[in-house]
Amino acid sequence: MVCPVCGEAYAEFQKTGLFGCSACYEAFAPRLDALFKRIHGVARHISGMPDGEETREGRISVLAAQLRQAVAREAFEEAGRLRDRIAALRRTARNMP
Amino acid sequence: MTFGNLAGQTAGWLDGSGAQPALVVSSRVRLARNLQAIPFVHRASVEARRTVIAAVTACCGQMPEMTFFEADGLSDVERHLLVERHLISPALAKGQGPRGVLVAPDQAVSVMVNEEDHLRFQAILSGFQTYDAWGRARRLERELSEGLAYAFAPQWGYLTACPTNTGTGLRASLLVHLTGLVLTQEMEKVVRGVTQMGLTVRGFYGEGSEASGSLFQVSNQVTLGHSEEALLEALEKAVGQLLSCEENARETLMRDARPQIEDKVWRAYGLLKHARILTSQEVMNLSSAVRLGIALGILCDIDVRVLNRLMVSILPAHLQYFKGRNLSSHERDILRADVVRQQMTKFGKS
Repeated sequence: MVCPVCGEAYAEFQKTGLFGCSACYEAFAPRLDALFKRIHGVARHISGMPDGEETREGRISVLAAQLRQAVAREAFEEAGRLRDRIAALRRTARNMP
Repeated sequence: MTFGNLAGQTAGWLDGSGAQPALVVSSRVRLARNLQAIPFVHRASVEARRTVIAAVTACCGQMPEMTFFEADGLSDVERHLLVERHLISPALAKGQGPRGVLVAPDQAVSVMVNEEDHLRFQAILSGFQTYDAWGRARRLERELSEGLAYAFAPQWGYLTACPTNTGTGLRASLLVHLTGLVLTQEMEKVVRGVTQMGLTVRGFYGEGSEASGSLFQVSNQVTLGHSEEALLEALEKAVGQLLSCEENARETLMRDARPQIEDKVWRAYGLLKHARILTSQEVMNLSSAVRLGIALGILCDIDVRVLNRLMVSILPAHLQYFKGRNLSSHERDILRADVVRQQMTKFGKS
């Protein structure tokens, strides 16, 4: 496996531990799930995007954190609203093609 | 802002503000970002690295208060002064080729350019205020994103040179004073527990460094698969537990060994105020005892701010920069004792 953009070989990446450029991610993709699972326990990003948009999973995880905090503060009305928003996001996720 | 202005101004993160300043010295958040279509730094040509610097400095037109310092335009001592201020990493100081740092006047936010990644945004604040530090780093990252295109892929998040930073690119670290746990010899056990919670505990000067003066950096280990907020929440929760262990250890010490602790604190205070030759390590260890004395209410005429300032101003590059010449290690030890005495008297409450 060699990155077509910067020419870094997978063997080189294994040796240095550094990707050569952002295209290396695509080039080495078949090996990355296992690598990321070993390092991070998971292989997928779930948070925000550069344009300020968030992935649905990321939004749900943020709302879930706020929900836990609201419950801890015993702010049950706010917790109810957060629970509804999470449920709505999960519904749209299921309806996606 | 000239380098002299920057050096002459105490970094905001040393001002002893924020929550629990006696236990948590500082909260730091850094975000790793790379620019699209430019090879990562270790594979980038000199021209490509210059392109990164030009792109970043062009974006700063909107932020006239930020100043860019090119590493090769600084002397060795000046670069090390920035390391001691936690504004650049030792790797950036030692590195080669076009690289540098963009700094705000209060030194709370900065961006290392062409370190391991094209950009490393940093916010560092005094005390326990992780979310505020995250907010500051995030705001700067957003502001620059208007003129820059970050390398990003929906499935992997922000693409970084090292796979340990992929995803959020976020590393949050708290500098905590855990002298109670060190003295009661519980540190090893506690570190094991904290590691199991997905955090890393290291010495004061980062990777591979020894704990100096019972100061430890606690940071998140993973960067992928969790939102930034979730990573910060996990860190805050674990550090909260760590701090309650520390407080328990301090209670035990005060219950079982009060005279010894008081003696240790007062001896350290006396040495700092009167010694004529001091090594950095000695100052760190004595400061640790004095910091404990302040937290336990044994010492009332001194503030943690003085110790925070000392922590940085007694380091070799600071001493040499302000003296205006290179100093031998022995000369530094003498000057260091002078600086400590002056600051303990000048900034002490009495």
